[in-house]
Amino acid sequence: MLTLLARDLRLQFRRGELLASSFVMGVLMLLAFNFSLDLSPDNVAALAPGILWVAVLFSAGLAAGHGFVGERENGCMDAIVASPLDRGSVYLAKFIVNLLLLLLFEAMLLPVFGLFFELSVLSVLAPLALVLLLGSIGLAAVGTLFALVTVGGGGRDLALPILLLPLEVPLLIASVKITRVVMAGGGFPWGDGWVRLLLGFDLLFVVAGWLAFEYVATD
Amino acid sequence: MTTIPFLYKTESLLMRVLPLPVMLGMLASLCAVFWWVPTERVQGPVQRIFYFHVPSAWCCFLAFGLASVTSAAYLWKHHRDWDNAARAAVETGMLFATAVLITGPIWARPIWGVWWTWDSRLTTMLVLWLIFAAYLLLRAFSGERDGGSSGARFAAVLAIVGTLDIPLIVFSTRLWRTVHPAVLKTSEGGSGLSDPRMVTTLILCTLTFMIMFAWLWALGARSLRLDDQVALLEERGDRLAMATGSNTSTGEATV
Amino acid sequence: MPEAAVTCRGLTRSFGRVGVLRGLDLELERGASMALLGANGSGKTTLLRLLAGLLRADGGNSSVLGHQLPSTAVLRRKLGYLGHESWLYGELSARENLEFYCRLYGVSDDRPVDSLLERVGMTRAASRRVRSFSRGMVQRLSLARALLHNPQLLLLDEPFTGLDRDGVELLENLVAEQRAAGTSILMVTHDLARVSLLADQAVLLGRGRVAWQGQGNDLAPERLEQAWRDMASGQGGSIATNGGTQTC
Repeated sequence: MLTLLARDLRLQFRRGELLASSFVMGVLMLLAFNFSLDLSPDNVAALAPGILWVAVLFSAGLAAGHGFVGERENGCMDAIVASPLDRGSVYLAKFIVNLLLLLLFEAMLLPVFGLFFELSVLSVLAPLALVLLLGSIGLAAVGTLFALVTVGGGGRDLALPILLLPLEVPLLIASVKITRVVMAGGGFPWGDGWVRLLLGFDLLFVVAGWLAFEYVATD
Repeated sequence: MTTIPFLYKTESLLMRVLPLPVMLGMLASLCAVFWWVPTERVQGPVQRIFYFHVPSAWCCFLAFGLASVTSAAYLWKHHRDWDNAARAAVETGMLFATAVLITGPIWARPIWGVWWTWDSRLTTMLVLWLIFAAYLLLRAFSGERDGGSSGARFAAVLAIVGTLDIPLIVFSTRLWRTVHPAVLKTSEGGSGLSDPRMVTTLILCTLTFMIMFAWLWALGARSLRLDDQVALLEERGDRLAMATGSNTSTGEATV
Repeated sequence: MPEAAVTCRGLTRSFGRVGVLRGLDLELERGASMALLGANGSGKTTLLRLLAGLLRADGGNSSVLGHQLPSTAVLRRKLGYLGHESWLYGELSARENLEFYCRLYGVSDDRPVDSLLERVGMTRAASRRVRSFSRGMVQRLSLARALLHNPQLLLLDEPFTGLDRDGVELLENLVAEQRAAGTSILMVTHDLARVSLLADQAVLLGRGRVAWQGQGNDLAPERLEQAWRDMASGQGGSIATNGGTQTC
């Protein structure tokens, strides 16, 4: 499994364009929100978390297929499936790659976010990073499970966000709630129902992905 | 292509047995809702929609349950019949979900003066509708390249995972609603059924809708099965046509 | 007595509503080499993919190298597969590809890489990205990939496609070597003229089952063509053969 992981990461970095385009996409979304919403100092705190998460969610949805970019050509996905690697491990490897890319994307977007909306991101960095991490785990888990939908071309890339977003609704609601608390300076709300919901979501989808990937990968 | 006797017989049974009860049930329900049950004091006549709105929602959950069970069976057994059963469940569920999303606003408009409301139940239903839609779109996108086999696979996983997600969706939308100003208590309607006739009507309608769901499901599954058979016959016909057209050695038709 | 390389009993597999394999019975002994023939769509590739673990069967009882299907990691370690697609990463070099597969298949060190590269005549191109390779080079490298981990069973799907004359000769030699070494081979081919050279037995698939099988003298091209024609007329369809007289 580690082999797969290492090679995937190497491939991703050789092909930096995917990360770059996701980043630009994220910035454009923040920009669009800035223009379309009438933001003033009193409503920024309430709206900004939502804006951030919508940008993350959509980018994650479009990019989820990228974890498998190496395997799109030449039937390499078949190669992985036919190899002695067990399918759960393949899922985990892909999940981790997806997660790391997502986190990297968020790390790049965060300063821009802070800048555009004149929010101090640094002062709440630790709890903010934590909620981003938890949310990203869920997004990566669902995304990796269904990412194989995009293999095969023919406009299927579009099907992925359509499929993922309804499933991700609980994650979106919970993450935004927690982010709002965090950005108001409240620290990370450990005992909150929302946190438990988010953790539950993460657990559900990582386990479901790990178990179900066998059925997704082999026909 | 073999058939699974259990599914085939169930479809046939439902198709044969249910039409009459459904018809009678609907007649009874319509009478009950529009004539027998008293008008609710607070909301007035429009409240009667509730008797269609709520049972439709229950049928949606039924649809999801059926879809996930049949999808799991499909992933395990890989038989086309299970896939058809799952697809029929989703298509029927979609029907009822649409009904909920239409009756909801019709009910909401006179009561609160708005067409849409982020009532947790309506929100959940919207998300479920979207998951149903994603399922059907997924199958449409996958086309017939490998007999739709890969599309069916992903859709099955979606149905199962979607059903597991439902409690989280319900929970999160409900928690979410408590922060917003509560305009909604009366809309829930579930609490405060003062007259026992209302309870009876609700039960009657729920039962009717459920057997209607079963009937529609059976029809859907059967029609998918027939589609498959027609397609197979067409293919066979094509092959025969090619054979009689291109035989070169003896010049006579080979069949 | 060691168990057979491949045993299939009543293997079934459908795609959507189309039944491709309908109760296939097949047996391949250890160390034997079998040619798999049949028209397009007769299920040859499906069978190979099933044995390789890419597909699951709908029904029937099959085992490969003594392991029951559906395949496990242990079984997949012993299989070598060469299909229509190369399974090579365009971004990586030839060497990197092979090294990756070494690690994937648990081959302890990278020594086989160099010797195989040499064997398939790719030493000079070893550091170039696979993306720049010609079809013939890709096929050769793919072959090396399939042999890297010393598989006990080779599954080859039309391996001669895309090879020039040197490549063809190379492949024939490699197959002969593997046979001598006791590797079991199941090969799909359309090249009737070569079957007797490469295989001990041949099997013709039709209507999702074995329509004909033969060995020894049966493998002469004329006999094979006759068998094909018989099957085709029985099926009510006409099928293209290599060097045959019928047209599709």
